[in-house]
Amino acid sequence: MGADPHKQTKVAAATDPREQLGEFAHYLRQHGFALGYAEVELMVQAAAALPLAQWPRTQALWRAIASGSQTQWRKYPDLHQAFWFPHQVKGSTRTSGLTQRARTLPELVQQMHQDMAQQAGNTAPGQAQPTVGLADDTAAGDLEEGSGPQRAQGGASSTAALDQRDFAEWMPGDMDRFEPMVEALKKRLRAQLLRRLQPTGDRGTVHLRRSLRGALASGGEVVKLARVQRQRRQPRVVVLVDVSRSMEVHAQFYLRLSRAFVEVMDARALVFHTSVADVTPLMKRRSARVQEKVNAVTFGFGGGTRIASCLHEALRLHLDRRSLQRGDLFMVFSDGYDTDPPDDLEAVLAQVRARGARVCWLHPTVQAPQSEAMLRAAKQVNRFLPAHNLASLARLPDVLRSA
Amino acid sequence: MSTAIDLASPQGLRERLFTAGYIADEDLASLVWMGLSLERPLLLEGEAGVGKTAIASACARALGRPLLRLQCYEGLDLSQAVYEWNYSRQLLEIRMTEVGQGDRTALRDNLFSEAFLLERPLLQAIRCPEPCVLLIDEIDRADEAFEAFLLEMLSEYQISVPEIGTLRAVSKPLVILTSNGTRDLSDALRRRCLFHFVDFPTLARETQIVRTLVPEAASRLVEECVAFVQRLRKEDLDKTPGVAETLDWVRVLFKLGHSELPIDPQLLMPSLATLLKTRNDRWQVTSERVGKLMDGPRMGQDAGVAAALK
Repeated sequence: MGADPHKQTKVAAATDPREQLGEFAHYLRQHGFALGYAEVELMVQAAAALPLAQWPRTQALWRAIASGSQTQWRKYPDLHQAFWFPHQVKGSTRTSGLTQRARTLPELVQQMHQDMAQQAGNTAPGQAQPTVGLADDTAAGDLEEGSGPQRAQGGASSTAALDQRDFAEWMPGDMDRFEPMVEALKKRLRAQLLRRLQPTGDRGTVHLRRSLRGALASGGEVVKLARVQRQRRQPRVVVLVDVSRSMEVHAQFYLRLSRAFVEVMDARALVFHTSVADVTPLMKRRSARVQEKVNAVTFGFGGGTRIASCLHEALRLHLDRRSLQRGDLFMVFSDGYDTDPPDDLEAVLAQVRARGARVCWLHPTVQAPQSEAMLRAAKQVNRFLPAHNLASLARLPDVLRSA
Repeated sequence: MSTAIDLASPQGLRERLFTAGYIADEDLASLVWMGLSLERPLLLEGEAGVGKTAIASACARALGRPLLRLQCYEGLDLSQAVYEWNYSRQLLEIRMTEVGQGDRTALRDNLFSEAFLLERPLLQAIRCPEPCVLLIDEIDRADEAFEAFLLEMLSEYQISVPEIGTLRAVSKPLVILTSNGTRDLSDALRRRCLFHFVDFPTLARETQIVRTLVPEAASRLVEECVAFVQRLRKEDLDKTPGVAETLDWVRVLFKLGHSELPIDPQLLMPSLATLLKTRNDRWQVTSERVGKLMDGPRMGQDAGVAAALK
């Protein structure tokens, strides 16, 4: 965590401890902490209640008040140190691009007022403000860009380009952006209403038999009505990732995307090229070595791709009638190059459709796959979706439109 | 009086917790102290087996307060967590009045009074005449609806019963919520609590914990076992062993008559059942792996460039 030169001047400028604490709260908010007035007041109370001899313990107390999650818990000590003891922070690194989260409108306004007040108060005549990069006027143009503490700014912003960048050029750090996409798809997946009933507290229709049975406890008087509702079932998602030679460049990105599916939607994840393997348990573990393990699982499968026989094997061995049924989503991430006889793929996809599942094919190319097998099987696929960059993945919820 | 002096600072509370059999680090002691002085609930998050639940019982012992525990699970509702009307007693009362044994007007007034209320842990905690420690265990297992209900109780220390009105706290309990992080808790709940992430203890602290809780075991055995478990935690396991598992393992080895860790990994394999809790982990940690963990550096370090440099 690098010390912020802009903030040092602020600490020096504010002499009232409460004001400094306000600055600190604002600093934490900029780093994604949800801090309200109540929390700041609590921080004051905690500091006041602490015996003077144990003053250094405030960091631990404030950490408990300010943090709300494990990530924030781990981040806090650095921020505390950087704000209150900037001279003790050794070494600093600058990151280009926007590293802070987007601010809300009230925060932007507050920031603007503070900056204006500071400019009016601090800027002595002849004292030049350092300018970095191209944004030389904080008042002009976009507030979001210009008003924050000064950061190094490159000639181009990498944030905007991320959407259009091809998956093959992605860095592992960018992968976190998959989860919101999958989250959006999850919200669009409608739960199915089953015929089976389940007891509910005070909603739903009255279940006479259960109510009478329950009345035995109160001597035959029906005191509490038992109510039931039809069960809802969230459709299951099965993700099959092609990890063959032709998909080598894209496979790791699709694997990470499938991991997002496993984490967010509790999907089943299978990988295949000439044989198929279930990697769901590996995906569920929060280990940095997933890629290695998946490689180990698929090692020795040999070259080539046998999509049809792999899908058939997956249906037969891994996906029984209960794991794939009406309304479920069967997603294949593949470029469609198949070495099996061309008719087989259609036959196996017809089996999937016969179970009532929806078939969705995500391909790494802009065009839908044009191989012989794919052309024949196309009528069994509910939706083809190009997934070569982030912008195309934003259309993921469209997958459900055709079904 | 001495209790009040002890609890005036985090250090005093830490010593009290130590006497109660819990070795808290400074941050944790500060947190509990702050929870007591600011009357705020504590939210403890961390892996299973790091001693989250044990903190609550240690606090109860250290403060001399009764401990009330509510174990959360999916489908937990208000009748199990807060209160329930004692229907059978109400019916009995009605029947007795019908046969002329009671006063009808009094019955009408009293039928929905506190006398017919069955108190469950949350209500018990705020109606307790003396302050208690309330442990709401594994809150992440409960439904979001229940979590929303807790908000009123945690911020105002009151519970609304429609038939009676609002029941305010007679005494404010020290509320400790624990979570394993299986799902995200709402921001509203997090904001009302003081948060602490309970991590696996350091080597020194874990050794101290094991020594205190298993005093009969030889100190060499304790040190070696703890060092082994610390290394084992760095392995890619399905279920990382917690402090509770270390304690079990040391107890088992002590019962087997060991005063230090046996050199032959084969001798250790049966007792590893206390540390490795899934089939996959058992399969992964072979006797060779145990041997490596016991003496040599980690596998990655004795290969490639690192080995050539030696």
